Amino acid sequence: MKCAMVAGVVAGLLALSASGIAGGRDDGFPDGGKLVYGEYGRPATLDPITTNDMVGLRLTELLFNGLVSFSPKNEVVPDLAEKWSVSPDNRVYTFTLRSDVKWHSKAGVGDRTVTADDVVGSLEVIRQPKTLTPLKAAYELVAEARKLDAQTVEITLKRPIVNALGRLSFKVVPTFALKNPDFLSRDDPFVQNPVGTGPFQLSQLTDEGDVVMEANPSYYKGRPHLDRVILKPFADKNVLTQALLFNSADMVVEVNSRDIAQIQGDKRFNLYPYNALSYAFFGHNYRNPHLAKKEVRQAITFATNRQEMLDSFYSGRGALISGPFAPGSWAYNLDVKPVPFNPARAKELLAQAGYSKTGSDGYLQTDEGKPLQFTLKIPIEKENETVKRVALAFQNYLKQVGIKINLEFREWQAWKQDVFVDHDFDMVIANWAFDDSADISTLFHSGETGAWRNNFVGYSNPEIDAMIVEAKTTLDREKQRTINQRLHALLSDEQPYTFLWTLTNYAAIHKKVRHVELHPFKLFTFADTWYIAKKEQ
Amino acid sequence: MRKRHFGVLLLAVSPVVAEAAAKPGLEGAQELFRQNHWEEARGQLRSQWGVIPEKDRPAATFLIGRSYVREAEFYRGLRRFGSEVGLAYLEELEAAKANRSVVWIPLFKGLYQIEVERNGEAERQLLAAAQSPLPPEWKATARFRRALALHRLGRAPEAAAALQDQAPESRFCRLLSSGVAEPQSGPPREGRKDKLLLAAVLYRAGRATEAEALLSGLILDSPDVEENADPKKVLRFHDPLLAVAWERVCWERAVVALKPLAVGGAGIERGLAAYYAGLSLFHLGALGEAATFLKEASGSSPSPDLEAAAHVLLAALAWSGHPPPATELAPLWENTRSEPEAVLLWAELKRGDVSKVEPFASKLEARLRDLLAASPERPPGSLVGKWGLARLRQGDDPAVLLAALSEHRDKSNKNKLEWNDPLLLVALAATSYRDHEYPQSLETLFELSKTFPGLRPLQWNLQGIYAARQRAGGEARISQ
Repeated sequence: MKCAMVAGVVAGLLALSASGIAGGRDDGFPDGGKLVYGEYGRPATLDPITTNDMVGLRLTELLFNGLVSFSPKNEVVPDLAEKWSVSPDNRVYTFTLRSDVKWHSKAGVGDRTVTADDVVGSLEVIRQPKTLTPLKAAYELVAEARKLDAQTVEITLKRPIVNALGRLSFKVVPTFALKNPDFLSRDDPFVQNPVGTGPFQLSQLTDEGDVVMEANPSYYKGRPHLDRVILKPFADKNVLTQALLFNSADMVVEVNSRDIAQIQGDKRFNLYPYNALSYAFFGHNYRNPHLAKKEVRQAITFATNRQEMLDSFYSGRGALISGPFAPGSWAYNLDVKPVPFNPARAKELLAQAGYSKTGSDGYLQTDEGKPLQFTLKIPIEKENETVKRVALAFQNYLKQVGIKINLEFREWQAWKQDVFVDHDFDMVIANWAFDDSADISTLFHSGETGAWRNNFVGYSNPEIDAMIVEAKTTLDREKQRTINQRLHALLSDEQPYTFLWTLTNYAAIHKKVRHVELHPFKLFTFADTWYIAKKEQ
Repeated sequence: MRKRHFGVLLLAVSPVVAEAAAKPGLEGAQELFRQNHWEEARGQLRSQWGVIPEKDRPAATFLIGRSYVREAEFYRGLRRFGSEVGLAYLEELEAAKANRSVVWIPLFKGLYQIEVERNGEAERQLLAAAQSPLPPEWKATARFRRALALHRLGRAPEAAAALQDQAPESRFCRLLSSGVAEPQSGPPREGRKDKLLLAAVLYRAGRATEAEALLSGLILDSPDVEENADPKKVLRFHDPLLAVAWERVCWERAVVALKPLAVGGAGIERGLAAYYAGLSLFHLGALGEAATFLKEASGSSPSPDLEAAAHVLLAALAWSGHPPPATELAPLWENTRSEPEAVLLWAELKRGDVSKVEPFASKLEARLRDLLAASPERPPGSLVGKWGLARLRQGDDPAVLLAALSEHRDKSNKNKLEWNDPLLLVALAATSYRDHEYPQSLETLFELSKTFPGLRPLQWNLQGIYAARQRAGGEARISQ
């Protein structure tokens, strides 16, 4: 089979010549200094396969590489693969790996370089049924991955897809360092003591939960300039900003909306727009027979004055959304308006659903004579005043239409266990963040309802399933757009979530950190080039 | 000021529910104006006109006119941004194999090429489109628009021959090419495009009331063509000429509001009204009338900035058709270079012959680059917006420009009109687009579209570009 050599070869050669050998960089910027960045909450696992939240995603961007990565203009660029070719039918991708990428130096790892075995092994671990990972759906498209030689990997897709290279940007792990090389479980020591190839390597986990990472002196692009990067978790969003202002942190990944003005006025910091493709939602568990009724879910949305909540608790710093995409997404259906606040309509819908009798407590009654009530599980570290207010307001709105909401606050990791594994919830409040792909398949496809899968609400609709599959597999981008916008309209009607809002999101970074470029989703993709001037270190 | 003028000024197309002003009357309207809720400001003045004291009515009239000027400037910035994006979207569509059989793409590509002044390409593209299997009314569009391109290429006789038709679109193209407004007699046709184009012609012919009647209830955001041969794939095409016509309508509304004040008013409002009426007429191509009002403005010193701007515009009118002599150019530049609005007008006019005159061109470039930095006070958002759009036209690095514009943005109220001038937001959206920050651009346009009709074509086209160019792997992650 003839293989078409594509621009990746040229790009790869250019990247090779520009990067130089591992060691110092020749960009003229100094080495030294540390960056402390504050996150709300801590990652449960530190590896790129089992982690399923944004905190973990950002962290693993510092520790790991993939076959390919993205440029600041979101073009696909070589990473562990120095070049690749694609078969004429766009199904077979042949990657030639760099020969100079070393694993982080750790006991038991030695001085090993990345090989084809590692790439093939990583894919197999992701796809292994015993590995609980949100990545599974993304790699069902792979028919086969095989090693051609020590530095060459051939990945065959089941069918051609749009953005295949972007989809093959999974992070590569040293399967030889796993407790079991065939799968990765959360009790594997690797998930708390990961080994990668990235610009930074794990040095220490402190008792306070800080994740301390040191510069990787053998990084293939050259040692990063910063000596150290430290993830500092905070249990209280208010304290995050204080930490920045009082120099306990150099960076906050997501600034509390009410603190943006203060930070903008403080000449020490730069604000960078970040994470525009994210939104908040109330999720409804279809396993609850009452919430399985569309009228009930619609009623909940009609009963909730989302604009009032956005205005009151976030000072209006955001925009209501009408469906499963953020307004900044190419898939957002501009013809679909947010469900209006209409408690009268909510009551009508509840009556249609069979809830018209009210008990002496003022709540609607089920057929069993019990109040129509749901538990809302809210993830919270120690303190998040805003989300508490949102929850209380929601409770009150629903009380007005006769639905009782019990609030249950859970620490983040425990919340994830309840929601993603045990499915032990009625309703939840949380946020989704997306990359540019607008791929909502893992959220709403019926095949994604297992443990640690994103469709934790258990939504299932064959029509939606078919549309999701077609959107993922079509090569026609305009068709993909049409399907996604139709999905938006249908899901807005179905209300598996009460879609809430996209907030104004900024990252704040001390100006001493120079040459900053943020990936709009992964954040730290280019952190190896950041530096701090000598006099400010 | 006779009350019948306010019937003419009804803006029936805005979809937004008005925010209540904190205060009634002129003061409340001024507050709404400052918050960039221009239509609401006009609405308040109109509805409360009877209780506005006589002494405040000139200021109220000026506010109405000024708000239309702001709106016209906003739509002007948007139109140019939209034209660039529209053409880029069509080029993306054209490049995709899946769209090879879509007959609309070459036509609309030609329509957008005219709007970005690629007239030679447009002429060839539309010649081919006029012969392709399009419905008759669209073949006519191709012919009329090709005539416009021919006119701009200096082939006026060919253009005139092609624009003999009496359809509203032909009349509108004649207006654009020759400045002559010949509205049809008889009942208007039903189509949205015809109504809007005819309204623009009627306005220019001095028949504002009839124009407004046509504009009542018009929806600006729907597509002109929706192609769905494949029900799972819907393509929408938007004719950019509607944005041209809509901008003209805004300028015309400003003229209608301001002219009586510029002629019969007194005090500072008269000079200001004269300037803005002259500016509006300048942009409408009514050069003789523009000169009359601008002379009035330059003589009555409305403000140093506007007086300088009036001088620049008058000079441009005097130089029309021939290169400016250096003996006139140099002193005028020296007398106006300190006023930011005038400098921006110079940049706007810096085309063709003017741009070839050195050392003027280099001096202008340097002054424009440092325009905001040199300002002793925080410049108004509209000025920053105009500056940003001018720098974008100059080809500035969008990442650097974005950083500069962002300094003037209220980041905590990122896309809110009350805190960020609409023109600044247009400049930010346009610069974000150039810097490939598509979500940021779309987010800003989403907010703007809540107040201003007519953004949907731009949003649709930009979404299409983003969809075509994104390369992401398909990740979704949860956070608390």
